Amino acid sequence: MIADEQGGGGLAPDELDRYSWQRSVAGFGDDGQRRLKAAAVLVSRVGGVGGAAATYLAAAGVGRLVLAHAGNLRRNDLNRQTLMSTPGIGRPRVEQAAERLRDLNPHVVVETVPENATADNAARLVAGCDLVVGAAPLFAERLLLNAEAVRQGRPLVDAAMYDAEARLMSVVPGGPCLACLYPAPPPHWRREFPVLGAVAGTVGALAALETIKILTGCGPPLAGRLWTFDTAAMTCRTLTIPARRECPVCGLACPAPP
Amino acid sequence: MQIFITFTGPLRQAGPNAVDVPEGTTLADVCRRLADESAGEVRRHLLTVDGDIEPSLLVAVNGAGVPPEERSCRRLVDGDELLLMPPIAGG
Ligand SMILES: [Zn+2]
Repeated sequence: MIADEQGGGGLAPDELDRYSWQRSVAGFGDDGQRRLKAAAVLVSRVGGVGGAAATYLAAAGVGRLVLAHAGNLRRNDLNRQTLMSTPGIGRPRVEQAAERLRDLNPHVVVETVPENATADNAARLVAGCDLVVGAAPLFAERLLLNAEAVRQGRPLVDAAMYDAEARLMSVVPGGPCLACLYPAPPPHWRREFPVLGAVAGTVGALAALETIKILTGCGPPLAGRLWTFDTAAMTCRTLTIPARRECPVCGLACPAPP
Repeated sequence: MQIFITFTGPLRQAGPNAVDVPEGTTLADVCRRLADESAGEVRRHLLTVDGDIEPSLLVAVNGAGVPPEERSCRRLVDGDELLLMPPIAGG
């Protein structure tokens, strides 16, 4: 109640202090802070990309984070998976990530699902959240979450990288989706890919920013646009992505041609 | 006419950066020509085993994505900038 009298509206005094440097961001403010606190975000895998996204979402004060990632930490994950630690090799990734995020911001409810997205759990994972961050290293997982996000009318932020390239797009209801870009799991993609942690972390941090934009309205997200960054040349492009009526996932949602 | 080409992702170091093609050349024509003139790595990202343009290859002309169903009929004009982006999903 004290917070309400101070204009915090559901934000406790220590939250108002914790977020004081971002409450002054133009277009964000206390309204944005309250919207973040009211939101639940699913992060599909907390590796190099998803771990960075989860870090900045936790720091910013998203109310509930659901981390989905199967398996135990390997030594060769540590060049990019910065939520993990060397003593944690052999321990579940998702537990280590949750511990670090709770330490970073105890106001965030962090839930763990020690599973990757599958046909069996995708509907349930998406249903429990307001927005999905897709950061799995397999197209099958990304496309499953895309299909469920479109079906359930939830936004999806998809962040990917390979070698020096980073790509980011947001799927919002009524707009083009990931299956418009990739109609089927591409035949040549391999689970192991060249990665410097700094490139994965860059696109993961920007996925957190996209998520914050969508949840709070503090800026226009990449809906219908694909952002691509060549970190070798340090050049980026924003491509327009047309919605496809032929898309088997979102096609029926696209407006009819005039 | 001259078409400028940028490859990204797994093909970042592929070439050429430009090709001279006759008037009326389509996007699919250029992809087939690049595949025919290239080693296996470029070819398998551009074409399916049946010789069609790989549908999961992202293609943009002057910053606008061109969906698979429009690539065979999309005619290019002199100076067009073609971006060829194989799918990536590193997480
Ligand atoms: Zn679609």
